Amino acid sequence: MSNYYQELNSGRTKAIFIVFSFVLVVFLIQLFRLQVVDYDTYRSQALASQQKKFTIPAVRGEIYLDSKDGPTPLVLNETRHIVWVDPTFITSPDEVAKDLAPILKRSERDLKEQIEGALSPGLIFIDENLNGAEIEAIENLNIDALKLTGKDSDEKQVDLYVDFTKIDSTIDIAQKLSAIIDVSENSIISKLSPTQYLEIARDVNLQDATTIEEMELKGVGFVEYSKRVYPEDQLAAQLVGFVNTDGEGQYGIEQYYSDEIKGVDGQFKAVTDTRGVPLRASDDNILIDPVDGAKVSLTVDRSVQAKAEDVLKNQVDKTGAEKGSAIVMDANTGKIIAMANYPSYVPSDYIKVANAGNDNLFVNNAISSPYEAGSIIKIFTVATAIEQGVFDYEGDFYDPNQEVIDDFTVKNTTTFTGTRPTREVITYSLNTGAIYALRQMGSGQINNEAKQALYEGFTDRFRLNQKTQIELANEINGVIREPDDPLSSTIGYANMTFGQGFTVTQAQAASAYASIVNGGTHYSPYIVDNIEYSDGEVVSTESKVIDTNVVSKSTSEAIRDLSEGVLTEGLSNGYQRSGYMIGGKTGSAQLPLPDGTYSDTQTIGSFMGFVDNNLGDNYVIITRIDRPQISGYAGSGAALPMFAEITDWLIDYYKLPPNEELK
Amino acid sequence: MTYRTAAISAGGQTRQSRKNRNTVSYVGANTKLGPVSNLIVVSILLALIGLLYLTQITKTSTYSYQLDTLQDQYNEDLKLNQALKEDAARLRSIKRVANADATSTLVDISEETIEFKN
Repeated sequence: MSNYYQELNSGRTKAIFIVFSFVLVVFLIQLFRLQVVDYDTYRSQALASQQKKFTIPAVRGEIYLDSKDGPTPLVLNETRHIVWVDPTFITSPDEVAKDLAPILKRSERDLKEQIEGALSPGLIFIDENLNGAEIEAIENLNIDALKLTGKDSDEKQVDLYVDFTKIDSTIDIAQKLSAIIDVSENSIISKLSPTQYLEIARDVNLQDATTIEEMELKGVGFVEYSKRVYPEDQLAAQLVGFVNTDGEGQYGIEQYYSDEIKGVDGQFKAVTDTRGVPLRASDDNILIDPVDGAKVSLTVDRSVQAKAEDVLKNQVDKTGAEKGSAIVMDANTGKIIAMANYPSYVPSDYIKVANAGNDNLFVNNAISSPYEAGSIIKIFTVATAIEQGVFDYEGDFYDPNQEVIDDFTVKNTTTFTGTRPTREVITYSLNTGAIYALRQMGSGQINNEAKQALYEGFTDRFRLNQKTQIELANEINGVIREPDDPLSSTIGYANMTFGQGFTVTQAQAASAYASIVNGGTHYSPYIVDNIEYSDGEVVSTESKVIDTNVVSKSTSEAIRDLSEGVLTEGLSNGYQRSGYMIGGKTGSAQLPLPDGTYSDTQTIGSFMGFVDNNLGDNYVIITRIDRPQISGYAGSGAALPMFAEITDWLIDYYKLPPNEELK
Repeated sequence: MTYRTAAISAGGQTRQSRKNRNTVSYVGANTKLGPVSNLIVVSILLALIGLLYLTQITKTSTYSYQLDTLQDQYNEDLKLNQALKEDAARLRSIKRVANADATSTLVDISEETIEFKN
């Protein structure tokens, strides 16, 4: 025993003990430094490599139309897939092509060639427009795989390609070329390496993607993306708009309510395992839930919209016109029941449409194409004069049939000269009668007083120079010149009385006309019924009154009566239906030419009308057709039949009860 | 005067006895752990605690994987729901209904063809 302790106390033992203790202390100090002093540094590094950030995409809001059965989907979302292959993993392109071709609806041969082509791409483009020194240096390399195109021809541009099938060493070629041309070595290597991501199909639906996934083919992968889908195809395309590749809404509701519809993406930051699966039990995890986009329900009725589009299509095709548009509006609330355009497009094909140069199809002409509306404006001229107390619509006036103003001759379409009832200004669409109404506002002259009265009537009273503020993108205002504008000549204001020389949109005209035929209340037109947010909050649109005294009741009755007279007396093809008061005004506006004159052959036809059963149902319908190739007047010959067909159908669709007093 | 005798038995117990007393008791030996045994026991205890910790962490991580699987299932169901919604909407679309065979057999209603009761 004493020997044992003697050994312990010996010098060597002590020395070993000291050394070990020293080493232990060093370890302890190092451990302390790593785990305590530098804790934050190493923790951050670990988290940086372990923690991954996932974006949780928000679901874009859907858009619905109204119908008798309740909201019906117009725009939905669907998950689609890009199918890609890694050619380097595919040992048998034949078999892969054979398995996938029927599902992807592609030719088996094309698919096989595409996969094989990716493995052996043939000529690969490297650089273009080489200069003389570069060309010489490349030729001096004497590498068979290098091809210079355009060198032996008269072309001025020489481009460099590499023949993939003749490459001996990718790195060698890349190094040599990068020393000559202005393309980096890495870039050249990347171009010359067989791609590991080859897209073979896009827009693959869930069912097909699932079928392919179940095949468990090696080297086949998927990328998911959300796509807007349109079950009703091109119905209401201009109202809806589309979503571009950046996820931004363009035109229509998609653009107007872009912020509400797109929502807010969420975020999930978590420590993951080696497969990237988030491990949720960590204090460092961050979860921000996405806020899905709001659902927008429109006031537009699906069936009425479809009917209006159908009528437009038939008439535009039949008359060889350029385009047409129509609005159906509830005159007692401002609610838009239909807003149609033709020709149209399917929003999912917007890229094809744009590439074909047909961007005009995106435009909602009812709100974005102000035009010289022609004789429908006479309604507003006469209404202004009646309100001024200077126009007795049951009286008479002298009609010269034509008159010269500022060296311009204004004529009627009729040939009568003499005293005639003032109501015929509207019934027979007399230009001289409209000028008469203007003169009456100036005590018999087209003076500043008359111009001012007309201008105020059009702007303050009927708001024809103000946007309607409808909830659609790209509404454009019409232009009405002020009386003291240097270009506001006497003839200019005379022309304005029958709708030439200034522009309005159909939406502006429709809402102004509604304010007359409903008794004098101007409602702001609206197209969104409600918006439902992802938290359940529903914001409904209420009918908004802008003015309750646009015209007096007597003026309203007068204009309704005059409008009815257009269809019962003024037109040979007038439309009536027993039990309903139906009236309106035709417009055949000559198209302005670049030299400031008007075309004798090209016109825009309009019809602005209403149907009322005096039992609470009152609708305004305005139709427009551009450049119909017909004999006769575009308003009565092309636009009126559309109004008649839509109105007749509307009465049946809504089962509007007829009024016995109107039979 | 009393005396106590103590005898250490083979098992390390101390046999206590007193003269003229018929009492015998065994007192447990003052066993002490040596340094090595101490180290082993402590190591075993630490290992047990560590094992307990690992068990709980593994359990929690397992829940994470289950959650992930459920989340994947939820996402798949959501996608399926979207696809079905779109299919339903297309089946009811105006264009499809208008072109349907059943629609082609419908006739226009005119007043003459309707008989009103009362």
